[in-house]
Amino acid sequence: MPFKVSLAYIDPVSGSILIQAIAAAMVGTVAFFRKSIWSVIRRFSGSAPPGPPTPPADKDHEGS
Amino acid sequence: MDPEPGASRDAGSFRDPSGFVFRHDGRMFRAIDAKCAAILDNLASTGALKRLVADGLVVETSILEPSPVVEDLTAAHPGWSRFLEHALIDPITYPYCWTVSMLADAGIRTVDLQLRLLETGHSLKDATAYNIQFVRGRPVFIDLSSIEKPARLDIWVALGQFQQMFTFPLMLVNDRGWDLRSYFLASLGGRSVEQVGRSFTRLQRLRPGRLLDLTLPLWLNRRGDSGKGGGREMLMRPNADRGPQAINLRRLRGKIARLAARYDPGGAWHDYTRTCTYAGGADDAKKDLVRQMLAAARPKRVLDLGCNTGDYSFLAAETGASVIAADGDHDAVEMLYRRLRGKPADIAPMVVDIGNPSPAIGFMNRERASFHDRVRADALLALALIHHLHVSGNLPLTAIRDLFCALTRDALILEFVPPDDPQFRRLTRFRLDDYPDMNLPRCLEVFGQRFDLVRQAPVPGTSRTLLHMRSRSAT
Repeated sequence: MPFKVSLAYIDPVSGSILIQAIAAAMVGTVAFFRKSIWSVIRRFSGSAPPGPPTPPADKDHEGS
Repeated sequence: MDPEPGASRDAGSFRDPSGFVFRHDGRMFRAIDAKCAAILDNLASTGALKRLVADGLVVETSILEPSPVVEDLTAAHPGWSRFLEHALIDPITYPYCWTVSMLADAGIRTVDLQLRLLETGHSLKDATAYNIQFVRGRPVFIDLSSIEKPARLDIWVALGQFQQMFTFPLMLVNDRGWDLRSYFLASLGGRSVEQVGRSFTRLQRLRPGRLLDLTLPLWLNRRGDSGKGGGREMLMRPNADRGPQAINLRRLRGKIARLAARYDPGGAWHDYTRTCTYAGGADDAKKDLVRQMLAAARPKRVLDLGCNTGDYSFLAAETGASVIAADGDHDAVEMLYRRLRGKPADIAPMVVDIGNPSPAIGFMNRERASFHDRVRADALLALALIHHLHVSGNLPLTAIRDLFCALTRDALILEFVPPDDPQFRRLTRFRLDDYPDMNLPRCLEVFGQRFDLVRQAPVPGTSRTLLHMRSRSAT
């Protein structure tokens, strides 16, 4: 039974700290991968991925 | 509480090593250490502290500059050189005499303050409900030495304490029929996540409203405490991203407000004002009489004992007095507090069973003062109360007299209710006693032993009598 653990040695607020750390890490991860997540979603939904438009090729220099 | 001469350290202010509160010549001061002084100086120099006070988040406070007063304070408290002065708060109330909405508003005020502090990179290092007091019916934060500048802003170290002090009791009151007095009186720090968790079945713990604030912290408490350490390092790791904490605080704020809004007052006595109306304008006549008696007594502080939903507390406040409104019925005081939100007045609501008022609790039984040590008035209003104390409370008239004498420094405005009164008869429907003491001459005789009668006036249209008396031990 989990209650067999000596509760006197458990910091009563450790769970609240840990859950915030996990949540903060999740928020951070989502923020970090936000661009790539959006590009994956857009790719699968068929729209063009975000980013600067590719410059038109300079025909004058073709073949030189 | 009566101001004490000289310097006296507040018995409840010793846990935080960064400062303590004390009285000096009737004023309220706080000694603070150099670290706390640096933080508050910084908040003051940017104007943030002034704004927090102006917005009603923090008790009126000034940081004292070197002066003869500060020299006196340093002499009285060697080793301390920086001091704050706070506005005096009287009476001091504790969460075990608050109502559900008062506790919720205190929690919301704590969250709002934390959000504001977060904007400047500060934080509260604790979130106990005892750091909030009510001034004119509004919660304010009083413990300025709780403000710190933490390394991490994405995490609030005091969140666990906040849950124990605000979220858990509101959950248990709403879903498990607890009362705040039981919740707080037996445990100064609130109840542990383990105990609160055990109040719900496994299935109930999986409800979305409980998952994030109760069930996951409970699970992590049990699983995460392997004693491997690393917690300190985790908290010391700098992180200036306050976004995650702000999101969580806004969520909590909404949750606390919803929990309080869900509470439905269902007590018996708060219906009294509506169901027990006097015949033919007797209510107005009684109000006039009470107003006249208050005008004659001119009290600064009134205790309205058995205040119900506060009709007479508001009446007393309108005469310019500062009022303590106390009743044993939580729901009546809750209704009073909800009225007070919409109509601010100098009224301090308290849930108090006067037959068993809150005792002195905490370390050495001195940390939190008893009801009788905190509350005394210049005038005691005891309207339609005496029959409850005598019949339901089994208190003899002499005990009621002594109780009233202990609660007032000067005036007593007492409504005598005889046994033929319909409300008295309601109380005694299934009782065989004759209540031989409950007649006006006997009441005057018993109270006359410690009070002088100033005025006696029948309440028109009823068999009740209003008595204005003065305590013979008036100071």
